[in-house]
Amino acid sequence: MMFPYDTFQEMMAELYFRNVTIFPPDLKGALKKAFDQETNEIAKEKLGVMLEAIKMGEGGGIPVCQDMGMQTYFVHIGTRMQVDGYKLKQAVIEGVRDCSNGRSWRKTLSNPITRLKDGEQISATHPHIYWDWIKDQDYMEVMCISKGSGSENQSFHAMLVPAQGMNGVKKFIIDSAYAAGGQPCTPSVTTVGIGGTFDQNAKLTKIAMLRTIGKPNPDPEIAALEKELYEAINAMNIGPMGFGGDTTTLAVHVETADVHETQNPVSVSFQCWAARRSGMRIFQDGKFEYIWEFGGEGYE
Amino acid sequence: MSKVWNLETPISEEQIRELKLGDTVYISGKLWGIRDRNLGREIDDGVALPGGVNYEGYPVLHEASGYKQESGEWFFTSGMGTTTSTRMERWMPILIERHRCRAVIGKGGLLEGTTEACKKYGCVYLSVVGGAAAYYDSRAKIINVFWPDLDSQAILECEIKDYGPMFVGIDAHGNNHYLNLRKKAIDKRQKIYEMLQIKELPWAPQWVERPREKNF
Repeated sequence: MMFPYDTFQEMMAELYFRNVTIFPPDLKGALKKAFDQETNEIAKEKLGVMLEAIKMGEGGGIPVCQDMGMQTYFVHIGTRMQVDGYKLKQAVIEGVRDCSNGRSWRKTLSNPITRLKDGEQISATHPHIYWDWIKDQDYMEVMCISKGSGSENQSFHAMLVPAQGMNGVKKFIIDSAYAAGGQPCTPSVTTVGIGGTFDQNAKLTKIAMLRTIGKPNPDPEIAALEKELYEAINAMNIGPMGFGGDTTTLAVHVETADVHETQNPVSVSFQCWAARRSGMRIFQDGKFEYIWEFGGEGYE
Repeated sequence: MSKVWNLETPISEEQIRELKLGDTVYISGKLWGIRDRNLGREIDDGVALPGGVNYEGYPVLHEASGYKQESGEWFFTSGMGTTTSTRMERWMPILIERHRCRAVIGKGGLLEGTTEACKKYGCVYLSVVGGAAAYYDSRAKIINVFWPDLDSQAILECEIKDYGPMFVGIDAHGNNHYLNLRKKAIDKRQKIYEMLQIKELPWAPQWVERPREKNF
């Protein structure tokens, strides 16, 4: 059966629209829990504004945050599907353009050397798409992540040496949390990459954003690391928007990749409280459902 | 005990000097949206502000919004949002001294230079919740756009109604809530390291020192 590429482009426009206007239930739950537990009066009021902003964005169909940021897509294709990869790529990209132009949203995309914009939210290099395959399945899954600049600017990387071990990795993460302070619109989701090559290491911080907020890494040792980092970062009392309080990070997500025996790379990036994540599962005939994470339960 | 203030623009210096750290503020009247490239054009490149732009007595906001014009009227297309102030620290003392704006509104906080300028010239820093554009949207209307060639980096003239809640992060007496908080957090750093059993690191040999932001 021919895959419906035109409808797919419309789906991608809708996915981007939903990405910035409808927030994941796990994120709302984490913010609500933080609101309920917060003991600092101003921090509680700030968390209240965040919850209210989500309600108003979802209710009015307007972006919750004005900075739609930069989009990263992860597309996993079932090996039983018959699709033209090039056409898929074009449709993902054009979907972003259709949605952004149709709604006259702010364009964030600039040339890195001249700093000029050409008035489009897409280009030959944006949005960035990562491709992968799902064995023996007849559907594909697309996850979209939008990250604003306040949070992406608070990203840190180091090629540590093996002699510095996990000790050095932990210190780098804590020192990064200090350097970021409240700038990434805390409470953040702290995303960490350990291992891999230089480029793979940074990518791990984006993979860490695909996860349901607070869901531990399946490896118990990494999960324990996440828990102790979560407690340590919150003990800093940087608080919502860096104004003080109990809630500095909603969760710490650590992802790892195997590494050369002589390397010890670490990346830390803080995602803002407006941690936009949304997805779709699409079948060969064009039927689709929404998902909140890869392999997750479909809805609508 | 922190107070709640409902201010109307223009705001007097006397009024601004009454605000204390942590007070809640709502403002109605006029507000100017500013950010990196229009600050750079005025302060670094020495281009005079366009006619009709006058910050004296008004709040300026580190703005980050999309907008469009339809049959002569301007609209926000993605809410009235705030960008990170800290990035613009180097321009703010000059702006406050030059224009005597009475409030700088943003997120993330400002540093020592701005604290000094706020004390000297009678200005405060007000913190809003970043990323909550949808929440503030109904409280702000865009009236005019100056230097429109700068696109989303243009100067915006806005009308605001009960814009807030905002919290006093820097007062007009030399107090900075962010710097106080940073000191407290840094004082705890050793304790945080201990929570994670972080010990002193072995020396990592380097050919020459690696480039860091502070070197540029």
